[in-house]
Amino acid sequence: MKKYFSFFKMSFIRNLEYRSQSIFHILGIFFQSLLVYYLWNAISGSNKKLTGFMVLVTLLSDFMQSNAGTVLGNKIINGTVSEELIKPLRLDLRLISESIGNSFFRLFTAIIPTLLIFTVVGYLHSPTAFRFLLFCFSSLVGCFIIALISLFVGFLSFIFDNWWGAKVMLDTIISFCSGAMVPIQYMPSFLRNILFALPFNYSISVPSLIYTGSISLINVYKALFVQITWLLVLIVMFGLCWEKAQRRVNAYGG
Amino acid sequence: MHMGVKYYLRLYKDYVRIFLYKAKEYKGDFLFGILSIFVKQCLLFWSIYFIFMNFPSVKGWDKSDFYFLYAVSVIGYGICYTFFDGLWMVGQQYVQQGDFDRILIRPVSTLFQILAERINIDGITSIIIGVYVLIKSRLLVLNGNVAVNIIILVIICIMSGLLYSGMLLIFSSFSFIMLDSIYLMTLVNSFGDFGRYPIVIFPKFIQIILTFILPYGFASFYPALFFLKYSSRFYMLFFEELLVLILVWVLGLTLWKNGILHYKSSGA
Repeated sequence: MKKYFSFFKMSFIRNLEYRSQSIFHILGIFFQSLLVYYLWNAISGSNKKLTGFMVLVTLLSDFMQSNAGTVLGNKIINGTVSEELIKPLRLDLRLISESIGNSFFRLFTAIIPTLLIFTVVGYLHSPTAFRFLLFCFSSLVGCFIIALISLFVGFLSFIFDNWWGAKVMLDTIISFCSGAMVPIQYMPSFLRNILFALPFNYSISVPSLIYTGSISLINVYKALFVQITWLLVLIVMFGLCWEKAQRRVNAYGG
Repeated sequence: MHMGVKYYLRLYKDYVRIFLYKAKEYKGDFLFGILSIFVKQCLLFWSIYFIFMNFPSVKGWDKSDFYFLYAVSVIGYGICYTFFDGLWMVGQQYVQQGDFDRILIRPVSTLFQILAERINIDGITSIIIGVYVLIKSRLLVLNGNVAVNIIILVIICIMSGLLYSGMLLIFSSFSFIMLDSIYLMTLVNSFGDFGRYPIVIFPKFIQIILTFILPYGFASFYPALFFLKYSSRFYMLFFEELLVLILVWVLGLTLWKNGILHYKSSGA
């Protein structure tokens, strides 16, 4: 556990080192949230709850964005994955710790400041303390879910070299399925029913609903239950795929 | 350094041929690239459709207005992605890894080489989708001569593409000083996203930024006014846009020229 925590710390520190990159990224998140705020304020006719929901979805999507898959994909393509597998640690856990480290860096430097500014200016209502705790818990679980899904996409590199295409695809699908383009409740019913069941909804949309208070507490508990179930299912599925993939690397000889 | 246009055209054709060989060799990758762009653009347009299923209009702008603006900007982005994507790699590939040495020793324009080394034919996908939506958004048939409208539209779309790439050129030039300006470019590009909507729905200060500082308003909103609000000021708008475009490109090329002077080889 300790060694993986040091990877978490390392990616945090690396972000601090590349200061100019981080500053531009932080400003980017801020302006993107501003765009989403003004756009949805205009679309919804100043509906505070809907606008707040969209801002939160945007922020959470950024928080959860994971590079685990792209790193894995690159390692598979240039063959360094075999080196990594010899080391006395699990590559998958390492990638996830690094990805979560990056997420937490963005959380402290970009997402919390943006949330604070938006709350102070009055663009966002602050939730009750209890709801805020539930929101944090749900977001954290979501963060793991998205990192796992990203790793799944990294496996695609066994088939394609085009990790860039895979990344565009994943980012688009996540942002559509999580309601970052249009809230899921505004989609036609056939699509809504599918998307409501998928893990993207539970990782990004549900925490945002908890924050804005658009979901009753009973439904929150139900959603959290499903979310954790999804996490467990993904962990098991990932474990199975990881075994298979490792064998495939050995067959390739890296 | 002073070769004719003909020479450059021939060279560009060769680069395209190299790209086609690559696409043929890695067919799966190529198709996957096309598929990912296709899915992305479809979902984006679908989202606009869903929004207007629930909200009939946004501050007086309706669905087809949004489609139109979005389509022009998607075509612009598509042109930029297809022909100018090399600019994104200036920092990462050329400056940080010292690959720019290779570019410098050749008797061909540096900018030309960087652009030609990365042509993404798959970007045509977004252009095709954009054109399809433009036709669907029914605006072509309205207001007068179809042929004239099509010509104006083509000009608008090309200008939009040139504006996006000119802005990229300006900020990619910073790579020579900062080693990698890709994050700065991403930041500036995120303002481009504002330009996909009727910018008058945003507060004043954002409109001012999008008009005078980062002129993404000219990428689709201002030129599209001609079709959307039947402004008789079209020629004015046209010249304003041309002026912006020239300013952006002159600034970009100047920065590029100065940036090269700051280039220090990595010694690789």
